[in-house]
Order: sequence, then structure tokens, then C-alpha cells
Amino acid sequence: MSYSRICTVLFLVSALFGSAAEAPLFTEVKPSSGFDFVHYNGMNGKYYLPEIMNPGGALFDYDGDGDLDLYLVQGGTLPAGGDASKTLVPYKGKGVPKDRLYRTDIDKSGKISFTDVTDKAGLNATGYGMGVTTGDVDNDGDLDLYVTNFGPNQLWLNNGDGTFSDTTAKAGVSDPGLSTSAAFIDLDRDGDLDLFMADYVLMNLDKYPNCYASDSSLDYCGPDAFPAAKDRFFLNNGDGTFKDATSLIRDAEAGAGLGVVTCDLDNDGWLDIYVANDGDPNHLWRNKGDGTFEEIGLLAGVALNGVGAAEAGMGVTAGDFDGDGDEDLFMTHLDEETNTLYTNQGDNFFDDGTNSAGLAMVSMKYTGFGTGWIDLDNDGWLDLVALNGAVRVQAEKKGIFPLQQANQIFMNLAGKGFAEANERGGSAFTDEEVSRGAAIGDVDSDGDADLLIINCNGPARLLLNNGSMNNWLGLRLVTGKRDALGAQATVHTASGRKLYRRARTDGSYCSARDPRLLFGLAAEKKITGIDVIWPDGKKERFPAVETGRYHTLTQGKGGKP
Amino acid sequence: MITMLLLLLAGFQEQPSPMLNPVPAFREDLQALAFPELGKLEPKVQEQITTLREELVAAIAEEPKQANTIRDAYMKLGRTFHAYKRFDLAEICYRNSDILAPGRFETVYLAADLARIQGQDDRMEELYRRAMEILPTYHSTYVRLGDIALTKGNVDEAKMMFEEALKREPIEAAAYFGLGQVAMEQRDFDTAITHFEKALSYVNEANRIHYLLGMAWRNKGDVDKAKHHLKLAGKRGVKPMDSIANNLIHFVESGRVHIARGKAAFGAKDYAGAAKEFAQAASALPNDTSSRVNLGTTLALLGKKQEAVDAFRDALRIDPNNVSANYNIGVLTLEAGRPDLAMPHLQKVVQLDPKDASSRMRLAGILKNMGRLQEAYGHYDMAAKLEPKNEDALIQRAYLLIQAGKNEEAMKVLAEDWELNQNFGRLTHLYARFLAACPVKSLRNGTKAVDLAQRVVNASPEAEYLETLAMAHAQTGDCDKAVEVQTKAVEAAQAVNRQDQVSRMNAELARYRKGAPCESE
Repeated sequence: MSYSRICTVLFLVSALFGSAAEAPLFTEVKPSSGFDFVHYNGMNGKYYLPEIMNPGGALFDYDGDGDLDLYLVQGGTLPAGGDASKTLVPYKGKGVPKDRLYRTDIDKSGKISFTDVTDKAGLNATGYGMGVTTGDVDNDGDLDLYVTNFGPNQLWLNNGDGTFSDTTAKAGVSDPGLSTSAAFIDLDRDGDLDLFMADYVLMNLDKYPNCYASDSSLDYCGPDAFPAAKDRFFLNNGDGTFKDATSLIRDAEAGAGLGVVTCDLDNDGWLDIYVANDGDPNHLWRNKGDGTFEEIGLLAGVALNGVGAAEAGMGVTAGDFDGDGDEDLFMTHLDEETNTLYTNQGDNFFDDGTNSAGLAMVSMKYTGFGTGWIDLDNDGWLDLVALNGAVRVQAEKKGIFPLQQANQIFMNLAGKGFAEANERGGSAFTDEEVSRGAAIGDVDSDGDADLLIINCNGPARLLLNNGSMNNWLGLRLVTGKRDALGAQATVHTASGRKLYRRARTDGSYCSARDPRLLFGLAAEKKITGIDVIWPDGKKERFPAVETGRYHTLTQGKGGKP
Repeated sequence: MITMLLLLLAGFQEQPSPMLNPVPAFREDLQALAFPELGKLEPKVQEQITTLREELVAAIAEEPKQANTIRDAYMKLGRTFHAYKRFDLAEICYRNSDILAPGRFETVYLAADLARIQGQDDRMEELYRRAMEILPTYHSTYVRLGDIALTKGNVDEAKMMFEEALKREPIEAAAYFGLGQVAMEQRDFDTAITHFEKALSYVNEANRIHYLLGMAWRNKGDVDKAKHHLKLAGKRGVKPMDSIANNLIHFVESGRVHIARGKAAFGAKDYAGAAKEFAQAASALPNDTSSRVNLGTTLALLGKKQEAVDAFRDALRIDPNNVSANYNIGVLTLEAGRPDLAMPHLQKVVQLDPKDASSRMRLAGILKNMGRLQEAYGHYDMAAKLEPKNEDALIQRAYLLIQAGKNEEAMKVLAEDWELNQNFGRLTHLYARFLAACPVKSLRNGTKAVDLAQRVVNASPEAEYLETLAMAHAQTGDCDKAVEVQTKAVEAAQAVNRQDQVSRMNAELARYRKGAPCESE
């Protein structure tokens, strides 16, 4: 028997017997690499709700060198201005707590390292941070940041020289409330990125209520202890300023908004907005294409779960998990609820497909936040991650912050359902932490999706995908000088398979992902072409390109579809 | 300095809580039972758990040991921990109970319920099946197993279980609800509708079923029917008639938990349920105002206004300065036609919270009716300043100025308020009327009055608005137009049978018909 024959047999055995023989999906980046972010939540024994809700983070190429840099949102004291060294878990970093920017460098040998360039970049985000989103709001070819806080938010404009400037006041996009997830997207098709942000509840720390657990002990409040806040919407004027267009999304009851994803859910070419609300019906703002929006969540079947209950919507992600050409929604929820998969039936109709997909029971004991569709093994089927951590004290657990829970991975069974595969994720999925934000992107640009896990009151974890035997294709969709957020690409493989992916930085929870698209091609080596629907609705066809590497597709450079 | 620092640090250390010693396992096959830190719990709950622990200790100490007695003590504790969501402790109690007296249905069933709540997939199914074997007649076991099968996507198994439940309890709405869901999964929407309607017929208040009906009709393509049901959809779900699980609430003696449950019921518009919870909370917390205020509010919504007032008074017994209780008594007694009883409470609110515009408005109304116009004006004026968009406050403030003969000041205030609130119909109307018929003729402005009155008539052609428009035309000297509009005003008043208005308007109409000058006197 030849050597190659033995290898083939082993491969078949491995494929037949599944996960036990499968290699770990990730390798975690060690703090010695320079990535050493630890989140500080400022908890002081008063059970303030914001201290268990953050943080998020972003994967984005701020310096345009081709690899993804990391932005991590930091907490602070509650109320602001306290002594961070005297909270229940003292702040151990230098100076005052503030958001951090880590530059990623990969040397010729492939070794990855990180440098904290926060101060060098002029970033001084000292608010009580919740989340972040990214996008090139001034169309100058570099990525800007919008940071949401419990308190005034900040717009940091990238100066293109490695530094950022706070232009919040000039832009007019501050929000003094408790903002969570945000999204940059061109909703009015005027060529620049508009801003949508979810706001949670109206809260005043001076008049903070006491809330209790089911055993009568003091516990964190839920959103029902406060009035829900209205979400905010700003249209980009194209001159560095924004117009408050919140009035366009007024005809719905306010919901305690946590997750935001933009997508064209009805395939009419106009980008819609979906907001995951915590304990309130979710909102689906259909873009009518005439500058107005209508809220259609209830009739569309995405406001409530399949039995008509409003769930505690935390994170949300949109993607075509079943390969039928439209985007489905996955949402993370509170324990004693299921996470929910809304399968797109077309014509603005969704079904709750959680049970049949095998995602119901497995999530009942977890409270999920960050989430994302992620093709972990490049087989062309979108898998799922759900990052968990309780929001109510787990009395049976010890420690000063007993909210820890394990994270979860769900592998896609070729569009027919999902199988839990946490052990493949390593300690970040088997150990218990209080995870919140999740950002997905190919940090080292090696053709597989990596994962940034941002924990509350603990260290962030960057997991680099170990890769698989499967082939891949990477695309960056560009309009003008910037990423074409909202554009959808369809890759046609040689075998006739179609893979649909949308460029976005939104989704998940309080976090921003890599807008580049990764297409897992399984064993296929060739594609026959790429169709792109650009955010302005125009369609183009691009010819086949070489697989196993990234390509940039620019609007206007393709042919007729 | 060192002492101060130590004191500061000490402030952040958790205070030691009184602890109950664990109850050790007296046999190898049992588990020791620990207890929660008492200091974190409400006194009533501390007392309850301490007592139950003592009962358990006493049962274990008895010689010869009676397995059933010890089992009963564990079960009491188990149900109590279960009700307080201390699932880890409840589980030990049930496990020990099951070992001490194996095969008891209730033990197994409640252990299954615990596993269900915690999402322990295989364990709950195994336990429910065991429960089903022990007592095949308890229908809720089948409902639970049906729900599990549904969650696992096993619709045939789910259907069978729900049907088995109905064989044992033909009016179990939860089983029909389950069968409806099965039919939805099978995309048999006609059958789904039949089952959901059946479920609704048994528990009419379970308005969440309307959502499912909405989805079924939507899938059938009847969007109008879908919308109809979605409008009716609410937060109240279908609860199985599961006496064992549902009775757990009776083990909750915590007032705080009853308040939380009351708030949840209130949020779902289940006011009767909320009132019951708040009453239990008030009974458990003799010095708590919030339970009583919540109880009063809920009773008021149920129309039990005197009982509501009593609940608010009970709150004031504990805290005479409670703003909500004072305000609510003020409102309810005012509605009951007793301004004399309302006034001191509203005055108290204004004293406690000078920025409470709503109390000021009500208090001003009472004072106005008593003829204490100056005081009334003061409250209206303050309410208008606190809430510049409060149309009633703006109108009443101007009205009192007019009534006091302060015409110039009234005109100035109306002009300023209207400038900022041009979309306020009633304010626009008052301004138009005053411009048309101000006692000081030099302050009148007929043209502007016509413009403003026309706006309100366009928005709502009511008799009174038409009357004002006619007055405005009369003021401009256009008596013919005044006649034309006043005729319409009379017709509008007749249409709503307002004879008082008709006589007054006819008198005005007669003057307009006489021709110029026809302006108001």
C-alpha cells in the first residue's frame, strides 16, 4: 500500500467520524504578541445595568496596509469621573480607562504582532464605551470610527496619516443617551454613508432603581425597569455634517435597541434596517426607496418569535445560511428563551425556523450577545458563533461577577440545520467568561475568518482560524475610494453553485466586522463569474478570477449582468 | 491618612452575611444541601428558608428515621428553591427525595420541570417520560413532551403527544396551541387556524394566540385577516393547566418577587393578576410603599376606584410624602367629584415636587372653580413654563388673563404661545376668537383672525370653530361672509344637537344679517 493511499483512507475515516478527529478551529493570539486588552467595567456594587452590557470592538484596516487592526471599546467608572482604582475590580491599565487601538503587523514569516497605537493615533475616547462601528464617512479612502457610549458618542475621522480627529460636534452626531450598536450604510443612495444607531433605555444613575432576582436578592435590572429609548438616524450631508433624520423612523413604539444589521431583506435593491430589541418587538424598517421607511416587523414575522413572544434581542446577524439567495436573520437572546433563526421566505415574509434548524434547545441556558455568520471551514456554508454571558447573577456561581457562561459554535449542516461544536473552538468556547461583542474578519488575510471575542470585565481574545483543506476566494467591493457597504456579491462556482454574501461592517453586538467578503469554495478550484449588486441598485458582472486570494472589484469596472 | 484609606477599602468589601450551615447527607447516596447567604435575601424569605431547614434537620434527627418524612421536608425545600429559581439547590432536594422515596410522580415531574427551564435537553425528556410512566393520566406531561418534540423539530412525535394530552384533558388550550404549531411547521395553515381558534376559545385572554393566527393567515395570503389578528395580539401566552408546576408560585413569600411578577402581569395588561401579586407583596412587605402604590394603580385600572384610594392611603400611612400616592388620590377623588378631598393631596404633590405640571393643572382647575383665580393662574402659568408644549396649560393661562380683564397681556401671551405652537388647534382657535372679539376693540385683528380661524375650520369644521370664523369675517366687515359661515355653524351645532349653541349662534346670525357694522360687541 502506497503512502498516498494510506493518507486517503485516513481522510475518509476522519470525514466519516466527524468532530472527534477534527482539528481545533482556532489558535488564540497570546498577550506576548502585544494584544493585551482587558476590559474594565467600573462595577461598584450598585448593579448598574451598563456595566454588564459592554463592550464591543472592531476589526478594520485603519492604516490601509492590508491587514486588520483592532479597536477595543473600554468602560469607565459609573458615574463618570470616579476613581477607577477603587472599584470592585480596580482598573489596572495606565492612565484613565479609554478605548484602545492596536495596529497589526505581519512579518514575512507570517508572524503576527500588535502595537498599542492609541495615543499615537490621537484617540482619546474616554467615555463609558458600549460599541463601535466603522466606515469611510468622508469618502477619502480611509476608515473612520463611530463610538457609542453611555453618554455622548464620538465620531473619529481618520486623517489618513495614522491619526484620528474627533469631529462629533461638527458632524452633529452625538447622542447623550445609552447607545449600543450602530451602522454606517448609504440608505438614500446619495453616495455617502449614513448613520443608524440603536438606543437602549432612558436611564439616570441619580435615580437608579433597585431590582431583585427571583430569590429576592439584589440583582441587575432588566430593560423593563426603564423607559425604552428611541433609536437615532442621521443622513450624511456629504460635507462632514449629518442631518438628524430620526423623524423618519418614528412611527413605531420605542424598543430597547441592542443589535443592528442592515440588509436588503426583500431583495428590492434598497437596503433595510433591522433592530434587535431587548424585551420589545424587534423593528424591521423597510426602505421604501423614496426617502421614507415603514416599520413592518410584525407582519413580516421578525418582531416576535414563532409563538408570538417578544424576546430579549441582543445580537443579530444576517446571512444566507441555506444558500437560497436571500438573507436570513439569527438573533441571540436571554436564557430561558431560545436564540432565534428567522428564515427568509421572500416578499418580506419570514418563518421562525429555530426548531427545525436545531438551534432552539441548545441556547436555552445561555444569554447570547455577539454573533455572526462565519464560514469557519470554508465549505461554503455559513456557520454560526454565539457569544454568551448572563445578565442576571447566577447565584450558584462564585466570584464577584458571576455572569460567566460558555460560548457556542454551530456548524452548518449544508443548509439543513446546525450542530453544536463548541469543543472545536478551544478554551474560548469551553471555558466560561462574560462575552459580549464579536467581530469577524480575516485578520491575517490568509483566506479564513478569524474571530475577536470581546469580554466584559476581562481580557479580549483574538482567535486566528487554523484554516482547512478547502479552497476560498476573497473579495473587496469598492465604490469610489471606499468599501461598498451594503453591496452584495454572488459568486458562481464551476459546479453551478451560487454563493451570496453582503459587504457590511454592522451586525453582531456593538461591534464592527471586516467588510471584505470570504467565499468558502470547499473542494472547488474555479469560479465562472461574479455578480454584484451595488448599494445604488446598479448591477454588474465580473469575469472569473483566480481563487485562493483576495481581489478588489470596483464599481463601474464590471460588465453588464 | 492610613486609617482613612483602610476605611475606604473596607467600604468595598462585602459585608459578611449570616449563613445557614449546610445539611449534611446522612446517607452515602444522598447529597449535602447548602443554603443561600441569608443576608442577601428579603427578611421574609430568610425566615421561610430557615424554618424549612429546621424542619428538614428535625426530620433527619428523628429516630428511627422516616424516609417519607425526610422526603417531604426535602420536597418542601425543593419546591421553595424551585419557586425562587435556585435551581441548583432545588435539584439536590428533588434528587434526595427521589432516592428516599423512589417513584413519586411529583418529585420526578418537578425535576423534569427544573431540567426544562434550564434547557437540559436529554435530562428533561428522560424525566418527563419517567413521570409519564409513573402517572399516565396527568395530561400536562404530554403537553410538555409535545413541546420538547416541537423544539427538536420532531413534529410527528409532538402531534401524538398533544393528542394524548387532549384525550386526558379535552379543554387543554396548550395542547391545541401545540397542535396549531405542529400544523404551522407542516405548513397546513387551515388546520393551524382551526387549532389556534380552539385554543383561543378556551383561554380568551391568551391574546398571544392572535399572533399565530396572524402568521397563519399571512401564510395563506390573506393579509387583511393577518393584520386584524396582529392588532389583537398581546403579551399573554397560553399556560398549560399544570397544577403541579403552576402551584409553585404559592411557595413564594417574597414581596419583592411578587412585585416583579405584578409588574410583568401589568406589562401584559393582566391587571387582575397584577393586583393579586401586588396585594401579596403588600402583605409580605408591611413597610413597603411601592407595592401599595402599584396595587392602587392596578385597582384603579380595574375600575375599583375606592379600593385604589384605600391602597394609596395605605402607602401614605407608611410614607406621607409619597408623590405618586398623593397624586393618585388627588386624581381619583377629583374624578369622584370630591375636589375638597383632592386638593390637599395635590397641594402636597406641588409642595414635594414643584416641577409636577400635571398636579398643578389639576389643582389650578379646582382653584378656578372655587373662584380663586389668582392662585389658579399661578399654577397654570407655572405648568405652562414647565411644559411649554402643554396646550391645556397655555389655553387656561390665557383664558384666566382674559377673564381677569388683562386683555393686552392675554393678547401678548397668546401671540407668543401661538408663534411657537402653530399646530395646536385649540390654542389657535382661542387666539383667533380673541383677535376677532377682544373686549378692547383696538386689540382686534380681523384679517389675522380670519386666517387662523380658517386653519382650524379646515382641520375640523366644528360648530364653534365656524362660529369663530364668522366672528372674524364680521370683524373685517364682511358681513355676508359672516352670514354664510355662521349659517354653517348653526347647522353644525344642530347636527350634534347642541341647542345651547344654536340659540346663541342664531342671535349672532341675526346681527350679521343686519349688515355692517356687524362686528361682535
